[in-house]
Amino acid sequence: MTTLFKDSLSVINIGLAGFGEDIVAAGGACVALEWQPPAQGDRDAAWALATIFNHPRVEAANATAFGRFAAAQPVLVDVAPARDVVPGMSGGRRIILHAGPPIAWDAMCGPMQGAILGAAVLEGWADSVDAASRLVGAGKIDLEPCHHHGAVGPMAGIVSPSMPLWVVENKAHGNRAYSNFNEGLGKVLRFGANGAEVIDRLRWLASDLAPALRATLERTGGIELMPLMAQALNMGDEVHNRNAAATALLFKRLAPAMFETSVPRDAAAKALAFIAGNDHFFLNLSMAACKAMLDAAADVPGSSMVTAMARNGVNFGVRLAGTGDQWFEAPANPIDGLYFPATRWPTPRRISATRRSPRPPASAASRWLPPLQSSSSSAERQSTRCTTACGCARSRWARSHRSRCPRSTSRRRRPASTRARSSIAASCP
Amino acid sequence: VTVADERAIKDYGLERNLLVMGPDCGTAIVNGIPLGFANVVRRGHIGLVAASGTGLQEVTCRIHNEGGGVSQAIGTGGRDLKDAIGGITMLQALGALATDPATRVIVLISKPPAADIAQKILALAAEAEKPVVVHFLGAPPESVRGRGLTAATSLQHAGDVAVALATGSAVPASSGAPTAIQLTTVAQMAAGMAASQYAVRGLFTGGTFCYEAQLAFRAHGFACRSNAPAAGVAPLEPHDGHAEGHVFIDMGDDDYTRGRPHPMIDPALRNAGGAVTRRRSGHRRDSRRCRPRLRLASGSGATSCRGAVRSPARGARPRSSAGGRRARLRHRRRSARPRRTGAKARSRRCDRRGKQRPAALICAALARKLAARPGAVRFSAR
Repeated sequence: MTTLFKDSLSVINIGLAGFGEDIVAAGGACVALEWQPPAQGDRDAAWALATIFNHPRVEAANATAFGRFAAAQPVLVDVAPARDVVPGMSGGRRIILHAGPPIAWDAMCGPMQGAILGAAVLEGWADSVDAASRLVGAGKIDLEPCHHHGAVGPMAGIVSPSMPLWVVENKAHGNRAYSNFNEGLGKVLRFGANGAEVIDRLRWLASDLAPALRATLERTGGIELMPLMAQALNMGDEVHNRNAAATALLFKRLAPAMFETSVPRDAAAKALAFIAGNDHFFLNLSMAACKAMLDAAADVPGSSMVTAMARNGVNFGVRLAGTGDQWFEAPANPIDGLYFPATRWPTPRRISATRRSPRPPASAASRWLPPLQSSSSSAERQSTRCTTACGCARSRWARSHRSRCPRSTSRRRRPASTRARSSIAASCP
Repeated sequence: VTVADERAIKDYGLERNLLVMGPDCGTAIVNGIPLGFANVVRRGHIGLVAASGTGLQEVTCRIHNEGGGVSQAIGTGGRDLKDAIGGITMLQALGALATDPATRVIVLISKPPAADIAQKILALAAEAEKPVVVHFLGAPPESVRGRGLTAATSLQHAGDVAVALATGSAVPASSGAPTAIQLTTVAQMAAGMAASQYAVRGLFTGGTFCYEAQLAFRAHGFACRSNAPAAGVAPLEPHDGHAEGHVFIDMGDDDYTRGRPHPMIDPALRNAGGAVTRRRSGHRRDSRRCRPRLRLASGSGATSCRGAVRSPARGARPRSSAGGRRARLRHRRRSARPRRTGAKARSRRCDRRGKQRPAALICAALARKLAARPGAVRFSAR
């Protein structure tokens, strides 16, 4: 204050921009900072946030949690039926896992109910959707969130005991995460479809594709997912809604090995054709990888790091590393989407198992892939280095690298896939 | 902001020699730069510290209009001089102005502070070795005693005295009488009212103006009510539905700003003022008895035009073009013109003139004019 009247003012205007404009109009220097009261003006909540903001204990806990997350090394190790690998689903228990935070059957949105009924039919617990509906309505089938069992799945995220699961192990910490198989687009269980065509495909996934993949994985050994995802990101994927590159890379790893197994030639051809025909095939793997990484960060007392974000079509919930298994829920936001003509039914709120864990982690993973990447195998590290051959330590993931790199000769050499990234608007899987 | 929080923040600032201005007093001119609500006024040698935002604006405008200039104007926050805060900011600012070579005269403005705080402030002011004009709204002038201290009787008077002290001319005894033009205006207003109308309704976007109007009424012996009552004024109970006689409403009060910006920023409520008075004071039932009037506070930070929300075409005139002379003039404007509600008011152009029309004076003059009318007698102590 002693110099306040002597120096020229350099004002930071927080909140309403109009005040700052007047300062500039009066000839002053002003930086505008967009701000609104935190916690939507809820005093108590805002103070609670303020007290933990930059709190040394929280910061230390977050560093620990994030350190575990960043050190995680998700590796695809196996393919197996859910009842064999998920402890809570073994022993002939009638249980179906679903997306998002816990929700009662009656409160579920239509697509999730439809998917659960389809799974009940698939399991043979009912011979028709109507019978399944009565069974679930009577409480004869347990419904629990995937997240309570270390599992994830896109959209309705349905996992029933006989379904084959990807088993992803975090080699750094030993924890495992599971995800179901991607059925493709169109009429599929995760969108709530439960017709014969859907059930037949699910049966084929379990009876043919899963054994073929299991045999293949025995041949290849564990497939490190982080380098694969890193490369896919560089090829234009974001491993959530665009998975063409990741699926292709996985295909490259699987195809040669599959022909070295005892899988019959026509079964292998059919399996590979299915993978090749579904650009989203990798999605469930990236989800499981993210789940494995984030589970590594879970259960760190005092940490405010979000380890799961998930929606069940009605509510949106998050879990924090420091609060154990507790969910913090709020109504999911309504879908602002494009509907088929003559859509009449009340549209469900956002459901997306995808969002439930993979979104934050996938984006987080994509942000942190470069450093992780550089600590993986040297061959992979090579591929992620700056392509301008300047040899600088900065990975090519830095978007602005080319413009910053002193030895970069051309700024126009961004790969086409990267350029296209911003313009592609794909439909959500 | 709770008082406890304010105290904690101000203590924090005091420890680090930082000036905490606010809350509830968003007015300052530091080194000629307006921070928050402020008017475009000449730079000069008068430094001001006020626990009243609109009061500070009023005095800086008065100083400007009387030919003086402002070195620094510092708003302390409306509660700074309350017991719980102890005048931390005012004491700091007073100390800073006392050592500021550009400041030759200091003006202090506040509602009457607690006795010991007043004593502390006056003692520090007396040590300043500069003339200090003190205006504690509604406090008797005798309460201000000390070397180099001058008590002002009104905001206007504070401005006049400060200019006189800065220029070395004779200090005016008081300035509070309405001018001939103002009296003419009042006469016209009264003439335009039905014979059965006798009460004044005042809607204010600045608490100090509301307070000042109440003091003027009190001084003239008129009873009035307010949602932000001064000492000796009856409170206007929220939702009491019906209020007889003169009513003054501060629309910057918490009742009106909960969940919305202050009416100086968002004039929607102010522009709907007629409806609000009707609702708050039972005006609808007695529509012939009252006459809404508005006190318009303007300046940088405030909404640029009183019709801004009601009429986008007018409000759309960009304030950011304030480099233009007209826009600047508008900022300088402090109009207190009585305003009709309804179509006539909507069709009016913005008043860009820089004239001052002190609301309290006009309200009081109008009340005097109306005092003889049937019905008004009950509300007059004399």
